[in-house]
Amino acid sequence: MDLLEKSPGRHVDDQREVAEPRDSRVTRRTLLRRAGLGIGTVLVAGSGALGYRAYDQGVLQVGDGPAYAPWSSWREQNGLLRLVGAAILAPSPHNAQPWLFEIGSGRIDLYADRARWTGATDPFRREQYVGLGAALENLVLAAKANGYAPQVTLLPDGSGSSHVARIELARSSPQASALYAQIPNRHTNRYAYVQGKRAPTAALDAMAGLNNSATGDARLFWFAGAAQRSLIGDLLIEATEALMADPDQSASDYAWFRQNWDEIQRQRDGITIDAAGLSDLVAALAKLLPAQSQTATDNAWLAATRNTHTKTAAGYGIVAVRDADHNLQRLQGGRLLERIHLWASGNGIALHHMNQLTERADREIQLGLAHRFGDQLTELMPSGWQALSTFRIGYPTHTPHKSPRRSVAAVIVT
Amino acid sequence: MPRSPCVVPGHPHPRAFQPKVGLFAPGAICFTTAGPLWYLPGAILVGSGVAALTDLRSETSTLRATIDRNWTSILTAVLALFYVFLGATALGLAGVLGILGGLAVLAVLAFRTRLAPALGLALLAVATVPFALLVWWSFAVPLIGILLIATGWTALRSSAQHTGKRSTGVVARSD
Repeated sequence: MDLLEKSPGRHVDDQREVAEPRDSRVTRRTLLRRAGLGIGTVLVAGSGALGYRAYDQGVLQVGDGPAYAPWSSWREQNGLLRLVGAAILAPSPHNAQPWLFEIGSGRIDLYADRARWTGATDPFRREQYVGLGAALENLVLAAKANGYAPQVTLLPDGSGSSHVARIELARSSPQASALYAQIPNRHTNRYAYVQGKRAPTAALDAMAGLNNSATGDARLFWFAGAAQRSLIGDLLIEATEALMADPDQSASDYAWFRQNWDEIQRQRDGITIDAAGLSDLVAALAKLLPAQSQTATDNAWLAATRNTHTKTAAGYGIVAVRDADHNLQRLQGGRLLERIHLWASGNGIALHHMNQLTERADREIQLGLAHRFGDQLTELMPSGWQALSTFRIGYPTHTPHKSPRRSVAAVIVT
Repeated sequence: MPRSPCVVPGHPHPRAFQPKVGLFAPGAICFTTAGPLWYLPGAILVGSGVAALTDLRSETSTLRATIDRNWTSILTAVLALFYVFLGATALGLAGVLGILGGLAVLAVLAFRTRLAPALGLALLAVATVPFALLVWWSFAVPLIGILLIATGWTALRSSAQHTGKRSTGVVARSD
């Protein structure tokens, strides 16, 4: 007799008898399978959230969108608007773009947008007027290239007025220059530069020779020797530390740092993560993660100044004038600075504006502090010259990304 | 308790329509937004709502088993749609690779029962790797790419196992 039949409660069916041990193995296996599927589902959901964050922060859209359109559409403007399209591509302190334009019959008037001021970082509006000078230089270059003979009158309503310049435009034969061709290519390069590669003397002399009648008394002084680079590098680091320690300067600096993609597309100004000189991976992570605090941003800036900017600078240039408090000379200095930057762009040399020294020097005067950095600058400059704007140069290791710009329509006043 | 006048004998309970409405409503909203990127989830939701209109009450257990058996394929398809989405936001060649790569993964899934697992895995890699390599620094795309290959491989193996079991069953029964 079949044992299976004698045993009470046992299954007679052989298949079901064999199935009993297998059921317990299937249960554990099923449990593991479901756990794996659960983990996979969570990972997929998490990756979806990460992917959406990447889209929302423009990780894959570097330099794209309405905020960057002026870089590609500036030549599509008609008439005198094309000259404004060139002007707005100029650099400005913290990319504040402190300019407004009024177009008349055969003329353009440039005004200072006083609301676009970087506050404690630029207490006497020195950098604001240097930036306006840079925009004016772009406008003049574009005017010549588009068949106009520009006649510039600086500060037609006096130094205290926001009316910066009147540019009368008579028709003439087009004169496109090498500097004009670099207008859409000029970007501040905050990356590391090639270490040990010095700019040739011919290049330094060429940039120093870019002043002309329009730039007045503005001059470029180079600090390319090892000792000079070390001295200025140390001063820049100390000035950065002092800026961070000043609550108002730190806050006014942070206010112009744009970390949100929607904000960039809406405001179309300021310093962005993409233009901060970070590697692609670090920039992507910075965009994916929550926005950095003011303290974290300050610390990152100091680290970059110490470990990247000053460490890899091939040299420093200081644009100087006779009187750095004079708006007219600031405008002239700004025009020279822009000519230098455009020349550098066209000759494979990177340039990065580093104005911590003059920012602290002005702040010392504003607050009645000891003239620590002011005196240092005075010692650096030849007698009779005052430092207006400082920058570093070198050979690039990365191509810089574009920075946002407000549209031509946004800066036209009627 | 009196029967609700909404309940008709022989027809699905009104509550059965809640998930279907729940698919249509957000799907329709997607098409009212300004951004074209919303059209993709909108189409998925509306399409799912149409499919759900079929009275599945009698086939719930079958449906559940089908979803359970194909869950890795569903996850892979979702990841492929993420790829398409990110490709749509990327610039230049990266965008093309992302969109085509995501669509290619969906094609591999659609034909997974006819593909040898090794071939399917190779196709998954060809579809996924270029986009991930080109924008390796984006962090999100490489991570999704890795998950795509992992879940896709699991889906291919699972499909092959189910196909093999059905074949074995036929042979055993014929014995």
